[in-house]
Amino acid sequence: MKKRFLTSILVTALAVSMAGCGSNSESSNKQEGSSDSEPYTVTMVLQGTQQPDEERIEEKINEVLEKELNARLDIVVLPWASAGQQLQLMLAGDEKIDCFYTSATNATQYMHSGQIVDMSELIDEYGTNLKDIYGEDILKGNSINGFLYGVPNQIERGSIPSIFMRKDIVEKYNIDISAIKNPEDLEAIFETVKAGEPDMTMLYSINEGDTPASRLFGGDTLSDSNRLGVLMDQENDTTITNYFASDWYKQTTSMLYDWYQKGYISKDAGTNTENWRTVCKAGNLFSLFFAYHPGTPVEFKSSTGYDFEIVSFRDYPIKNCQTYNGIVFSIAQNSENPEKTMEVLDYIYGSSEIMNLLNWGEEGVDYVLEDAENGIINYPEGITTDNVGYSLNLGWELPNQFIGYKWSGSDPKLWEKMEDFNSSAKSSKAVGFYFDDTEYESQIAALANIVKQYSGTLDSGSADPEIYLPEFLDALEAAGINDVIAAKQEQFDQWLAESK
Amino acid sequence: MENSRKSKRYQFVINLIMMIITLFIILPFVLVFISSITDENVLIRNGYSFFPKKLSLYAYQYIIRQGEKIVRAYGVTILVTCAGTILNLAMSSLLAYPLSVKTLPHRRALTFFIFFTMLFNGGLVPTYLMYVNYIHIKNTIWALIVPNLLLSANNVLMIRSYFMTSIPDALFEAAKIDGAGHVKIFSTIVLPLGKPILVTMGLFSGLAYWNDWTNGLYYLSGNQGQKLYGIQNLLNQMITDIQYLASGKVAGNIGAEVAKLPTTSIRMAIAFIAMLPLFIIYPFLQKYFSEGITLGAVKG
Amino acid sequence: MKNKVQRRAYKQHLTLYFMMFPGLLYLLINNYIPMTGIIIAFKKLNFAKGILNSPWVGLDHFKFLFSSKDAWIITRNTLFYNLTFILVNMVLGIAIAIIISEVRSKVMKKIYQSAILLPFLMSMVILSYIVYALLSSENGLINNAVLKALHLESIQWYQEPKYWPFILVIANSWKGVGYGCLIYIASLVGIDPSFYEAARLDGATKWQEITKITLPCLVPTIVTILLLSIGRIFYSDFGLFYQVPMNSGVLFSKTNVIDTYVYRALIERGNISMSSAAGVYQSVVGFSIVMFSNWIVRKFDKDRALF
Repeated sequence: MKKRFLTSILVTALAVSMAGCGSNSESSNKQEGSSDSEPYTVTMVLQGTQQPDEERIEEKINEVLEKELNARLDIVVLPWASAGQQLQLMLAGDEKIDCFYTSATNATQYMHSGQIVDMSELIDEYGTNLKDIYGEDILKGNSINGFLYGVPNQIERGSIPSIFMRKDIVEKYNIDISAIKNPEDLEAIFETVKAGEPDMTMLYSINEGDTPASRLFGGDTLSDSNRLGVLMDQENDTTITNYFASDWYKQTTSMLYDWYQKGYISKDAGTNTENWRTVCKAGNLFSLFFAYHPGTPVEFKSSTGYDFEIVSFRDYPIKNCQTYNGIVFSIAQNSENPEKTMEVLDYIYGSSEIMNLLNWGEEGVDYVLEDAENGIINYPEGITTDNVGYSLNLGWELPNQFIGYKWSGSDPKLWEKMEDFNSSAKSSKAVGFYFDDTEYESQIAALANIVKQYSGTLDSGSADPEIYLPEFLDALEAAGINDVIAAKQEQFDQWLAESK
Repeated sequence: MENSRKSKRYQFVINLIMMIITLFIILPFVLVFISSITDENVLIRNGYSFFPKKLSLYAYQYIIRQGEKIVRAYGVTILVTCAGTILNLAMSSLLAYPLSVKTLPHRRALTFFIFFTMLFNGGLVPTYLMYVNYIHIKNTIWALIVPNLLLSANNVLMIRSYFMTSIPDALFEAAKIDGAGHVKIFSTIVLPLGKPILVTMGLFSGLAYWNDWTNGLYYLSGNQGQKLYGIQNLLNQMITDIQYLASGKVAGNIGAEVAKLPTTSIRMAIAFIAMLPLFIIYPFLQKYFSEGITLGAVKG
Repeated sequence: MKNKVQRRAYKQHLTLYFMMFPGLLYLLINNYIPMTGIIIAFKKLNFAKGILNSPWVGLDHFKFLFSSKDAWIITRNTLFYNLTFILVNMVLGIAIAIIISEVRSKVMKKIYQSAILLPFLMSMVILSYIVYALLSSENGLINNAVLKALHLESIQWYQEPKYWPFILVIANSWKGVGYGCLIYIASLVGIDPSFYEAARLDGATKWQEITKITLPCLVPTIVTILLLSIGRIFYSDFGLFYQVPMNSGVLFSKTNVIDTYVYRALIERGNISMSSAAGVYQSVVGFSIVMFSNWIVRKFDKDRALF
């Protein structure tokens, strides 16, 4: 008797709590028509540092949006590290969220679990600015089986693997940087500098993210952070191969291990958790591998206080698989008015006024124009990073930074140079391709663990590839990397055939 | 004579053992404090040390400049800890006492009902949906008090076990003969005699509230939510953000963000001030522990 | 007849049921209703359709836990560490609790009791900084101060898996011993002092007092703590196994446990169903072991069993 009672409570509760999520989305579409009178508030979720005066800026933005589109904007900034999880939860509940910043990897996941909407028709109808900026082809590139999961932000397209060396040290030791053609050529330089600066770390290294090996890699990872199957020669070859089994990987990790043993790379590289900028600022770092684009020299100078000599290992940038889907905006299934959301989003792509408000705050309060002609700004008198009310300063995360102001110290022609840089880029064979891996989730989950076990130590140079690499490759094979690569190749070939 | 010398030596030995253990426990805290007053560049170049080459009060100056934020976070943490602990203790003891009464029908099933929650949970998403969609707890102070921490099966069962074993049955029998009801027995016998375990469990619950940052992480977001951040949420957000930005997972230019991040010494300083209040509270709790000792003596 | 007795029993205990009501209601809301979400582990989640209407996929989401040879390593590590932790923390906890209760000086007693509490206040991340301060290759205190002074070669701690079982057990005890210890102290306080007086009159030694009176009186507490911790034997403290070894890949053979495996497997994808599946697996195993242990305890002494 009691048992049955309990079961029935639980079942009712279950039905109530679970069914809610489904019905929610259906009721949403009904409200479209009524939005004429009351302005619709678009909730936009970003990632970064919470700004104290967010509401003041939202008011400013709303003055414009209410007049132009009968809409309002509500920004929600989630903290860096927890944003992924918080966003996941917000999309699972029936919370107010309209559009958000994400990447293809996550967006496709949301697509499969029905948490975002297909944007293709919305763009056709409301995407005027977007079509102007990108053209239809690139916009439609971010879709899987006709489902458009996100629109790209305006950022640099492609990058060039380069070595960044502290200028003062280069000058002190009279280093001839024109002699550097390949990464291997750095060895002699490290030797000279190390002899003079025994306490200094020659090359920055860490075990995930900005590892020397991944920063040097010139191929196309196909948007896979675990690099399970990549294009080694992205401009010419369409064969997907095992990155970790390549000669390049073996040579590079051997080189790094050699440097590690010679003390050029920190003995703590495998456990390092400090960003290179922090290390560099402390005055203890000579060089690092990083991706070059026209914005980097200024950013590096302002975040570390040092000038850098830059030598690139390639003459031109290459657009790869991630170029247009690494940073995108998607529209949530929770949105009560996807049309209005699309309209507002598209409007921001074309409005320098709103871009500046979003990124830099209010003119005269949060910033002043330093060089009106070139659109360069700085803090007003008495305002610093510590007490500024609003200064998001994350242009790349917002729809279109290219139409906004630039911070003091930037190249006056930064955006023009960026456009040149982008147009000089050659293309990988896989631009626009995205591997839909839903069928292989359990293999990939197992493979991800293996990659994290070995690649961090190898990529950072802190393990001997002679010993670890064969073990690594065996483990990958046992966990089925070849199946994943074959599946990727199959989808890629099909995609190539269709897109021609 | 012989005996007292022996006992002195015994006291010396056990005190020595405990002092070594205490030292072993305290040294890491000393290291945290010293790192918080070490010069940042020295920390990055030479690592943590008990005898740093250069000291600096920069971290504490930074915290003072952040004044309002830190004070508010402290306030939130203290409020949540007090309210949460009181509610938790009340509910736990009210639940534990009936379960310790051996004549209670369905006692075993009810105990199992409680124990089972320690083994299975629906996971984050269903719990989140429950609290956000139906109880509408998001971005309110209740979000820090109610989910997961309000009642711990573990504490309830520990209290129950104490009630059952450490309070003599004879006392209950005597009270029953005097015609006392359950409420009376609970308030005049069980609560006073259960003080040692209640203080201990209250302490655990208080610490759980004090140290918790997960509720804040899940149930507080945006401008409104972050105003309710407790001190541990602030600290945790700093530390995880630093690791996240360092790992290079972010696609774009984060130079300015990295420059804004609090330095290692600041992290240590906040970690240190987050621990500080316990040093102040603990002497008050000590009283209850020793009271427990005398009570134990009386009841024999 | 039987019914009448039963009804009277209910009536007599009505107050007790009232007392329990808030707690039980809370557990229903906080635990039991969300627990129905376990079905997520067996579904291909689609929020647009709602959780109930998402298609079933059977045990698909469980596959990733068993599909590589890591499955054996993580299971072995999880069990080995948890058993060691339970054992070490129990022995140390009881020993320290007894020693503290023997200390005569009230001031010292207070100091010791406060000290064992302190580690609760330190988060795992901060503890991982401390461990790093001791063990880092270039600046670590052990390499630079201790080993150098003894003229020994410095050790690359984060590259040598063999040391990590010890490091993790020490770190865990440092942080966790206080918990059991405080409960044991509370239980020691509850022991009837007349037992000791009688023993002393009979001329018992300290050691006899401990083994013949103190330990037997602690048995119920020990059993409760034991049963409670066994239920969580397939779970582990994520911070201890992820942050403290600094996520160093070389150490995985000794530091990878189920929780860290799941985290690393799903970090990029955030697949709710798969993480839910891992939770179900951990719970089911813990549940079976605890039911079995409780059954054994019941065989010996009905009162000491949990239920």
